[in-house]
Amino acid sequence: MDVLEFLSYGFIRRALIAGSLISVICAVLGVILVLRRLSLIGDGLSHVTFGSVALAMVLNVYPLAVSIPVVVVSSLGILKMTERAGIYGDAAIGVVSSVGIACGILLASIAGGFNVDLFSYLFGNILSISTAEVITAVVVSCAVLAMVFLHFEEMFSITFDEEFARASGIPVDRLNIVIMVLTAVTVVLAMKVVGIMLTSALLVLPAVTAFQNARGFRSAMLTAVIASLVSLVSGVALSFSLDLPAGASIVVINVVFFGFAFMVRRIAEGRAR
Amino acid sequence: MSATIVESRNLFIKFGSLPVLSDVCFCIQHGDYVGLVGPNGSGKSTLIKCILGLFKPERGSVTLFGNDALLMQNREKIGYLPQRIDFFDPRFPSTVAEIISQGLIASKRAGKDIGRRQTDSMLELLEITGIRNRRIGDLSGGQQQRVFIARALVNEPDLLMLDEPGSALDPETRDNFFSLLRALNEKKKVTIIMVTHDIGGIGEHASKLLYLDKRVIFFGGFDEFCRSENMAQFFGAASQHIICHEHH
Repeated sequence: MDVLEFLSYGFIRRALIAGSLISVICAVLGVILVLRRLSLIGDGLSHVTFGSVALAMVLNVYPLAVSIPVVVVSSLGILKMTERAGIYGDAAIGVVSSVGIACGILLASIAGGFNVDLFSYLFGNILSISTAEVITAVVVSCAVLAMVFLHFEEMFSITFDEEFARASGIPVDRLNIVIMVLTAVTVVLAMKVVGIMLTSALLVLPAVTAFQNARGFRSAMLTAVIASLVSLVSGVALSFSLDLPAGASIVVINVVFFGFAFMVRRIAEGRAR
Repeated sequence: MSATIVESRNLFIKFGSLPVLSDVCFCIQHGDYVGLVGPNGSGKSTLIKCILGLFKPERGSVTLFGNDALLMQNREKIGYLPQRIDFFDPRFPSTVAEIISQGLIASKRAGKDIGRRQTDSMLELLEITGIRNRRIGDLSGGQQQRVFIARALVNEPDLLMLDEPGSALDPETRDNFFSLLRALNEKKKVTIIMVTHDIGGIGEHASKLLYLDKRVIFFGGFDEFCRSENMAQFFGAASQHIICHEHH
């Protein structure tokens, strides 16, 4: 099958457009989150997404309409727990994550058990992305990219040295809230791409791949975006041509990139010795 | 009469139930070079953070350039070097140039052409041009310290706050750095507040001494400190003599 035939399918085009945008913003936010020791936030929030999807099914409403507000509130809860209640960041993520999973299981049970719809959210189905979800992805991606482009230096500053950032007059608390809200919305969108089970992979893997060899923050972000985008496109192509699950294919290709970057770093370090 | 740059009025800070600073009052004028000294845990770094507006005092207030330090918006006049250089993760992907340009954020020049030129001239001044594109974690402690000093100076601040800047520098670099500070203070009238443990050595550079031990024990000129009978009683005459002898 050639590329044109591949792209002639509407569901493939939607998958590639929404998936590419989501993979780019996951990479951008992932670099910031991993460096701020919040790697597991994707995992925690995706567990909340599971609970919120189960709630949407009980209420019989569109899942994104429930998931986005619930996950945004949860992400702000994590932020407040770490800032105000003196709870460690990973512990706060653990608390929110367990609540999400527990509520999800209870609600799924009330709704009569795990059905096909809930499983499709757990494991993702990028090829079933709707036009409305593409539009949501475009809007959220524009918001994330605009924030990073307009506040790149501030983002770098609060990630590298929050105290210096505050001393420089950067509105650190406000930017932290913006990062958490955008992360929450991105996690909800990413569940369609790779599923709730693998969402954090889209945030973490491109970032850690980039950190293997990047010298600077800017180059790390660029490398993460390229690795994430290439993994997404090749994952969708692989999934379509070999009839494999798309989410898992995307994640496996991301892991291959990480392994390659790790080996390149080890070789470079070996030569330097 | 010179302008007041920093004024602390009855500052009281506590962490939990422990008072860290109590009734701290002083006034730093334009062009002062103040050595902030005191034993470990005396509240020196906390005071620096209060001046920067990073801590909200329990009571009292700090004003910076006439503004409440907590509310001050325009921070381009301030340069700051934190106490420890190992606060960051050595694996953090960041180049020397990226870090120095962070000092330009308050003036919104970071990432712009003018900012890049200022970064380059600071690299030259601190003789670190050769490591411009190196990753910060790959540098020695002394090189990292020079990078953070460059970040504090790059914005050409009117007030420079340095928390133990001499640590990790080799003797030659330290001498050059102190000469640079003296030139900034004498020629450009940059106000300097420097935290140090070297109470004898700071007298060579600073015009004033602020001795802190949760409260202000002494604030004034170094010669005044050496003549002070109160200080002779506080330190013991022999210790005061040793400190002042090192100074002279």
